[in-house]
Amino acid sequence: MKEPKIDQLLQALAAEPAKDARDPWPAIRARVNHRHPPRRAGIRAVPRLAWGGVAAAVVVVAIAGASVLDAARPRSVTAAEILDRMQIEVQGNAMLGSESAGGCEPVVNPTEMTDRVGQILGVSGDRVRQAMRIQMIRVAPPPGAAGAAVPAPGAEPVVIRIDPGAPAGAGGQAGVPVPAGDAVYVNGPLPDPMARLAERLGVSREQVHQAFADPACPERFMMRFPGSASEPQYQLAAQRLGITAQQLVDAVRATAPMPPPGAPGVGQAPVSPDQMIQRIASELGVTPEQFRAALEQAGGNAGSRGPDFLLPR
Amino acid sequence: MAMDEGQAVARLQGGDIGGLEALVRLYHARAVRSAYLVTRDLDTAEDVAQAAFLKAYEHIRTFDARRPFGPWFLKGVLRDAVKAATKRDRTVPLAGESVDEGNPARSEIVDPDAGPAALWAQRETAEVVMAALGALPPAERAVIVQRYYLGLSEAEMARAADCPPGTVKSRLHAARGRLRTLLQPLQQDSEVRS
Repeated sequence: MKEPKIDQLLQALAAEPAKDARDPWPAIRARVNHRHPPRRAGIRAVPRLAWGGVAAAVVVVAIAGASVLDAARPRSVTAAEILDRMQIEVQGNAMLGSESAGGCEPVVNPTEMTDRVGQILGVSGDRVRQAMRIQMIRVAPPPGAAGAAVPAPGAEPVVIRIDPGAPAGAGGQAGVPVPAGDAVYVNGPLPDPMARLAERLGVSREQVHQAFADPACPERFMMRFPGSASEPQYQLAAQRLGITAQQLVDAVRATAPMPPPGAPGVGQAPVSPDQMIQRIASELGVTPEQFRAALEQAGGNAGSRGPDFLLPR
Repeated sequence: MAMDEGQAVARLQGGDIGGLEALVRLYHARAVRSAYLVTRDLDTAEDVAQAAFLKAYEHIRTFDARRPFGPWFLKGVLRDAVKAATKRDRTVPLAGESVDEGNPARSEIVDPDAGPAALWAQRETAEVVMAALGALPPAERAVIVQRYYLGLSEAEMARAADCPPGTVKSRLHAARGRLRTLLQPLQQDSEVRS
C-alpha cells in the first residue's frame, strides 16, 4: 500500500466524536475538590449546598456515615455529627461527603452528638434526630400532587403523618395517605437509604459504607447522588462491591428516588441556617436560642468550637 | 461570554477554578478522543482525560502562558493514555479483539451525511482502521494520534515528546509500516470494489 493511501485512511481518525450529552465538568470539579478540598470557603459552601437542597426539596437522603460534612477543620466535624449521619445531596450537582484536607481527623460518633443536644434540651437524642430529618423532608409535596415525586421502580412512597402538637416523629405510618397540611410526605425511604441500597445489592450496610469510603481516609465516605458510572467514586465503590459502576448507579437511583424537575421547591432560594434552626427548634418545642445554644454547647463538649454551619454568616 | 483559552489559563494560574472549567469545555472532547484512540476503552479514556485536567490544575503554574495550552495538555493526555493502554494490554490482548459496535466513540468516525452505501463503506473502513490502530503498541498508537488526529507536524511532535525530530520520524515510520501491513486487506478490498 502506498503511503498516501495510509494517510488517507488515517484521516478517518480526525473526525471529532459527537458532543457527549453529559457535562464533563461536575465530575472533574469533584475530582479536583476531592484532591484539593476548598479551605475555609469550602466549609461554608458545603452546608449551604446542603441546606439549599433541603429547600429545593429535590431529594433528601439520609445516609449513615461519619463526618459527611466534614471538611478542613475540626469544627466541621460537628456539622456532620449534628446532622446525625445524614447526607443531603442535591440533584447530583453537589458532592457532599468526606473532603479531607491533609490527614484524617478523629471522628466523633454522630449519634453521641445528637444525644448530647437532646440531653441539654431535655429530650431524647432520637427526638432530636427525628426533628432534623422531618425538617429536611417537609418540603416534599404530597404523593399525587402536582410536581410530586415519582418513586423509582421498586421504591414505594413513604408517607409520614405528623399530628400537630405531637412529639416529633410520632404517628409516622408508612403507606397511609393523609391530608396535606397535617403531614410530611416523603417519596422514598425515610431514614436510611444506605440500608436499602445494601439490601438491594445483597450486601451488608457496612459493606456499602466501606465501598464509598474515602481511600485517603477510610473512616469517611463520599457519595455523589445520583451519580454516574463514569465518576471515580462510583467506579471505586463498584469495584469494591464487585459489581459494575452502572449497576451501582442504578441501585442508588432505585433506592433514593428524586422528584422530577419542576417539582415545588425546586430552584427556590435555599433555606437559611437561621430558618432551619427555627424550624428544628419548633419541631422540638424549644426556642431557636435554646436550640442554638444546645448545638454550640454540644459542639464545644466534642472539642470543636461549635456548629457554625448553622449560624448566620 | 465564554472565556478564550488565554483568559482561562490566566484565571487558572490565578487560582480560579473557573478557568479550569473553561479549559474543560475547550479540550474535553479532544482529550477523551485522543485517549480513546490510544486506549480503545471509553471508560479508561474518560478517566485519563479527567486525571489530565486534574494534573493541569495542579501544574498550571509551571505552564508558560505565552504558549498554546493544547499541546502541553494533550501531551499529558497521550502519555497517560499510553501508560493506561500498556497496563491494560498486559491483561487484555488486542489481537483478535472484536470491534465494539456499540461504542459511540468508534461509530462517530464515519461521516453521518454520507449515503447508505458510502456510509457502510466508511464505517467498514473506520472499523478496520481502528482495529489496525489497536494492534499497534500503545506508544505507536500515540504517535499516529498526534500526527493524524491532533494534526501535529513532526517538528511539533518532537517538541512535545522532548526528543529529536529523527526519533519522531523513526517512530512514525515504524507505525506506518505496521499499519501498511495491517491495512493491506482493506486496500485489496477497495481495489476489488473499484
